[in-house]
Amino acid sequence: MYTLTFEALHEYDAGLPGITVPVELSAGDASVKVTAKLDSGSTYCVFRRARGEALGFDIESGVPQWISTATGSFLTYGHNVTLSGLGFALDVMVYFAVDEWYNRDVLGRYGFRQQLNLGVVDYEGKLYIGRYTA
Amino acid sequence: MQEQIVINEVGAFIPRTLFGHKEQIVTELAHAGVFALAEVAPPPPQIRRVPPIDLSRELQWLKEHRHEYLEQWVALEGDQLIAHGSQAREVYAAARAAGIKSPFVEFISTSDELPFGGW
Repeated sequence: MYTLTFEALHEYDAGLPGITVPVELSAGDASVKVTAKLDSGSTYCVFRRARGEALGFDIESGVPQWISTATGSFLTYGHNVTLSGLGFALDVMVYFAVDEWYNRDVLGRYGFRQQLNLGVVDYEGKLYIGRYTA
Repeated sequence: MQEQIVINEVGAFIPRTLFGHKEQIVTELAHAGVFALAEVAPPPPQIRRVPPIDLSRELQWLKEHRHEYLEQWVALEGDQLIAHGSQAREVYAAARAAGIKSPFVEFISTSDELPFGGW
């Protein structure tokens, strides 16, 4: 038997595709709210270009990062933001897709999942959250 | 036996005796300016507790009205539609002009009805 303890509970609509998580991205004085998908397969937190532009970023001035998918690859640029969601906030680098055809907002490993302990009871639409401590 | 990393105008030489000593290798290379130390070992982000973000009314609105705004961006505040259109930039601008500091703007895609495949 193993035991994990969590600090917060987020109940999501199990009828929607994926696990939907309301988050807020902030940079300087600008903020946007987004419903992102928790993506266990994504290395990074990747958002649509429109989100970055709404925060005032010159997308292509960020840190370039190619992302590989099952159907090909696409270019993103990383920018530092405050990412808030599920009752926690952290200052991290997230990536914005260059191409506007990219139509997902996802929470990946670096910048989100690695900093939190997550427990999923998908049948009930329950996501338990706690801070990772070494 | 060579036990020091040698860095010269040609490149960097790591002796076999240091293989497996990742921290020492990384630190020495960083101190020699091969790469910035901050890139090697970024400190873990500090996590703060904040109030959760509630978009339940916005998501309910999307459920009830999505078919009316297919292939458009919509700006919502609670269950109120603030702006809509084909260009995200304009919809964000309209939401901010309406006094919303942190707007929720979503694109209503016909493909959203398909199961999400992750990566």
